[in-house]
Amino acid sequence: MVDSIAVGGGDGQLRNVEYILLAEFDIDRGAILKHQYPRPTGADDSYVEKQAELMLPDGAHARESDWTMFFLNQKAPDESGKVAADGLPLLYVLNLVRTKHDKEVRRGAIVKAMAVCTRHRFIHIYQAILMLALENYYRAPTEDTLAELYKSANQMDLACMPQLSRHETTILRFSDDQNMFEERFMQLENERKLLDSLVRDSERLDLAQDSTLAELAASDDAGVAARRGTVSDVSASRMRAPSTRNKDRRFFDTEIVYSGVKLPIRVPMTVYPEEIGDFSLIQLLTTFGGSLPATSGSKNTHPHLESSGQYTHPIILLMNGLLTQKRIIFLGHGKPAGEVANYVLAAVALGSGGGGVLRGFANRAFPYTNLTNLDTLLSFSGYIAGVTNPAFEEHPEWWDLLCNINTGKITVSPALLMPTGGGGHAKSQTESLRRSLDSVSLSRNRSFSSREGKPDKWNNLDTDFIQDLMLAIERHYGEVAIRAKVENYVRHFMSLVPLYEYERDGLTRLGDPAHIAAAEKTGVDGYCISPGDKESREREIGFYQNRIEGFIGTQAYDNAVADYQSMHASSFIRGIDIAHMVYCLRNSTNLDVNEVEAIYKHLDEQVVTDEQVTELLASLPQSQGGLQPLAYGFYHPSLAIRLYTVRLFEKIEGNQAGARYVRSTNFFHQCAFSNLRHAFAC
Amino acid sequence: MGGGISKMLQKLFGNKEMRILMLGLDAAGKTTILYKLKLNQSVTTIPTVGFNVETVTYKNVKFNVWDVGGQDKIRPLWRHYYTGTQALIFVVDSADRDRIDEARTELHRIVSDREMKDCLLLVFANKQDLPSAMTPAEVTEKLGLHRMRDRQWYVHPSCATTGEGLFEGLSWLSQNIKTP
Repeated sequence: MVDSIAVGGGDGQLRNVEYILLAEFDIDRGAILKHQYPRPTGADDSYVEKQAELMLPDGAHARESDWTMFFLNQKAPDESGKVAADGLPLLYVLNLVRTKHDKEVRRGAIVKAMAVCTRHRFIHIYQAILMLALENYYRAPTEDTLAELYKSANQMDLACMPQLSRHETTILRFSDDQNMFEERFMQLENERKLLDSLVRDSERLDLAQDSTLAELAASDDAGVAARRGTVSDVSASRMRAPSTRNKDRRFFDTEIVYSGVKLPIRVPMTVYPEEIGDFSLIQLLTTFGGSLPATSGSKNTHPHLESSGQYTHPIILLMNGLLTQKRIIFLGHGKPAGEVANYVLAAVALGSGGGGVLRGFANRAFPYTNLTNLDTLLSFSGYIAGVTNPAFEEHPEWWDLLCNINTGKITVSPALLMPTGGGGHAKSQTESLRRSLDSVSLSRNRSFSSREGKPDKWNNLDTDFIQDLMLAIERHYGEVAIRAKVENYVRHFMSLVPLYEYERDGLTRLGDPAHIAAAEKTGVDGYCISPGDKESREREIGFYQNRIEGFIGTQAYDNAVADYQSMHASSFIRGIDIAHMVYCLRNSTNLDVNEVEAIYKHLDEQVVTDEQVTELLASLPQSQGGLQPLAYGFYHPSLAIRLYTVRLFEKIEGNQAGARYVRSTNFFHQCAFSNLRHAFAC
Repeated sequence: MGGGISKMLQKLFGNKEMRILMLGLDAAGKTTILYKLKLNQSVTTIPTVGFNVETVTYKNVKFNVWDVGGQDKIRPLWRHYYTGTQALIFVVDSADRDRIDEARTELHRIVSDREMKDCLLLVFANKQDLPSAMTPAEVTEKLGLHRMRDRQWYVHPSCATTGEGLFEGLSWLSQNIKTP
């Protein structure tokens, strides 16, 4: 009973670790997968052999140890290029390989590798235990060693880790306040203590406790909500938890006990869906951001990739390749496989918008791979793969973009074909498209002719982004800040896609056509505030047209469509575009009174429940000033706006995270809030 | 300045580059040969996981030598290294009479590949220091080299640990390299 609670969530269904693998290099036969514990991973025979090869990376004989990463259950696209939405969940594999020189054995060395397969994206937490376990396996090469690791890892207690929603994750991720969701942690800890004490009591009293426990266990699954009330009542009165202040709640602290050793584990709480492992996006950006744009000479520039001709910044080149689902190789000849893998994981985060905007990059990522896996790799229409073998460089027919980690250069494959049969055709297509757009009188002054290779005035759209990014890195901004910049960039790009689709086809699956049509009108409703942005938006669509066209139909695009539908169904705030409103309040300078009033009115009307407040807070990250943009409403000449602002702040204050937000606004805003509240109450 | 002069000299006296692929059954001595050529010292090698690649300069020719692991299961990967290869060094353990047939099969499979049709073939009859080693003539015979009509091939006895015979082999390659 107690055991089953310890193994994640109660029903034992979600294990921390699904499989343990062990591979070794047999001097006569090559790489073999020796053990799969507790059972085979279910991959077919040919892939089992490949797994062993991936666990024993090229050059493993030349270094003492290395880490590799790869994934299981990746879904290859079918003939039409689509990827099935269902099926087994992706498993992340972290693998440690070690070469031990031993004069006693034939040919002088033993190479063994051990891997954990888990659903946890934060796979790096298993590094320490894997090092110990592989060491143990060298001493006792039996399946029992794997069994012990499996058991220990699965006994790691995550039951008290709050399950944060997507919005809550965002709030915590960008929060200055590390105790943002303190209450959630406390609640779970208190429940646990109560449960433990009940178990202890009942054991001591030797009652017929089975029924009670069964009841408790049942309520653990089903009547959570009902139970919460009673538990927190009791805990408030009876159980004062020891102070857990000053704990960084952006991590959940737990431990793994493995063969008598307690290993402290910090589980990050703010991981986005496409952030895997402990990579450094900054490293990726500095490695490739510094090189001069690769001048491809007389070769035609590829419209998807070289969006600013041959002067395209290498990071933009990479971004274009990621968004238009090209085949991308990271080559680090002579580098440890683990280092190469981190570049791939960073690229996944780059393309997916800091890990948080788009999905589907992880499914086609191969953090470490080698020639044995070539067939699998080439069965994907676009992939992101890390290799250490320079043979890949000599086969440009295998890739579209090759990023050489040693030189920092990104090369476009000379074998890469132009989309839809040659540049001339594509150009005439754009011309005709432009005419058709002109006739709808949506598009004005678009310059398509500037792609001949000279930097043009549209160039600054990306240049600003790159400069901002590089400056931030120079000033030693952290990973979270850099990823946030990438997130904003991709999010902005994604806001253009439905507009473009709507312009071109009159419909889109990434937004509500009615709202886009409404945006053409002047006036104020929940979706469009200021038509003043329209011109710059059109300019941007013109600039990104090729990238958008390359993006449409990719896996990430299909996922975005699915996400839009489900988000539409599950979002708490209806009828207004919250991100756009916040954007207007933050950035617009020429809003008139009516527009501002409309924004506050919409916000006050639509943001009522606790979930809605959380959703609002998620679009106001503390790292970008938190409630600041809203707080200016306190000082607006219009009485109505001041009233709406106070009402909105009162609702925000009623939310656990919101109260912390309000407390962290500056003193004047807080004074204004309390004065106005007092004034309106009278 | 010095760089400029050495570049000029290289231009005058030829700056040939040659891409070489070194294959053979496992434990034939490929990696030992590679590092003996590269470092001129005998290193203790362990089985190669994947590959090694090193550049060796000898007699003004830059040899880019790829040494690929030889275990039976990874031999299908050899073909990925064929592109652009100008010479194949096939290493044979002359003392391993049991597997000389296996070596012959593999060799013929390699050279029958379209991408390898123009490349030179150098066979090192390695491990000549072992008492039961086959002579180069015997190796030639067992590998069925006489049946290869349209190819330049050469068998040379070698002992990787002492380095005997290795540079003679490279000499043959540098003399026979086709200048493009």
